[in-house]
Amino acid sequence: MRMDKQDLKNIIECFLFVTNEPIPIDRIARFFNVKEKPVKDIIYELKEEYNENNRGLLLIEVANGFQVATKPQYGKWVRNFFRLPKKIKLTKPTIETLSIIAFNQPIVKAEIEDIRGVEVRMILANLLEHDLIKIVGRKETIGRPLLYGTTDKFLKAFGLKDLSMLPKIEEIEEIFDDFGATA
Amino acid sequence: MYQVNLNVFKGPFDLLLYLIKKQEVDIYDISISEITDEYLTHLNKIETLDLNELSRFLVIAAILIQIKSKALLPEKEKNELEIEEEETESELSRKLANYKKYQEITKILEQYKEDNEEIYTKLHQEEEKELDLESLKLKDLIVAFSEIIKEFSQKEDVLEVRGEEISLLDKIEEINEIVSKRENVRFSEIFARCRSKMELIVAFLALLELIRRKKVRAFQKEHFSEIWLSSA
Repeated sequence: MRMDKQDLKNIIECFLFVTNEPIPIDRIARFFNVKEKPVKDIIYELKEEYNENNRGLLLIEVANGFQVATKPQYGKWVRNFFRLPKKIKLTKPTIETLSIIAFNQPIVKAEIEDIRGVEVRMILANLLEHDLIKIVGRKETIGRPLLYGTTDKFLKAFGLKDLSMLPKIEEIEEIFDDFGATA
Repeated sequence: MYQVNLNVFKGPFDLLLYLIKKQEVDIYDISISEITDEYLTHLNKIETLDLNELSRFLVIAAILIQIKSKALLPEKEKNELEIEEEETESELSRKLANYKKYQEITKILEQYKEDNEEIYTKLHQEEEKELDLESLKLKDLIVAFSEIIKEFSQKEDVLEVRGEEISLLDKIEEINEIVSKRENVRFSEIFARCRSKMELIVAFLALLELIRRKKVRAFQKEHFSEIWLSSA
């Protein structure tokens, strides 16, 4: 099966269109038995083309992978046409708890409660139910409490490529230090 | 400005204060009584009293006395309670600052979420064609159950256990436990352990009740295939 670069690009585009879940670069590279770099270059080219051409779709990079998606400005049309439910609304305390988990994972409930100063049992249950967090193990201390971590669904919901895309905690700290100095 | 004339310092009084504050002159070396004695003699000598000058002297002298008395007093030792209080206070403010950080991050994440709200990807295709109870009608369950009853009646070595009452509640609990322990359980498995027709019927009723309460979900991968149960 001979294929040139254009073919490869088109095939990758097919994959990114058909998939339900973001596809990681290394999976595509392994499939074609090529290095990751050329695959990455092709995907970024595709991404660029989607951006340049006035189309309804774009290429998103979330949860350590790539996928074709609708542009946000047309989202409500898609939602209405397919009668999709509105995406889950998360309350402030829920996002707060989620951010504590995201930055400190793996983390046990007591540690989250120590930071938030209030009980988080119900919030954790809610987050687990929505697949935004998962149990990643048990801490080897008294009572062997459960350890929590975030999921790929969390990354997707917040449009994050990976955990390193979270706002940097040092940056936030700096802002606070500046406030502290002037206060 | 009034000029002081001491062994360690000669010059304007306000300069003395400045030097002490800058710790270039040691307050221990300064005798305040000497200064005041000298000043009083000075006051007696002059004919016109300059009130401004006088009040400036008083202010500086008062500050000197305060500095000196502070230096002479032994440093008050903090008692444990005070130390503890301070610690909890700093612990509290540390926690608060820490928590504030996450509140800031929460704001950013809320924005991220909003930006991503209306991006849609390919919808999940049903990989496993599950027909759940909506399409799996009660009739289907009854048909499946009648098969089981028929099989049961055909068995020769049936042991009829009489007098034993099987409570519906116990059976509900039993089935619920079996189903919740494993991902999928065959419909027939629930009945395989029954030893009498009565128990079969009770088990069937218990299963229907669990489905009605939405504790158990019945589904099949395709029409007329094995019915599976899973905890809902």
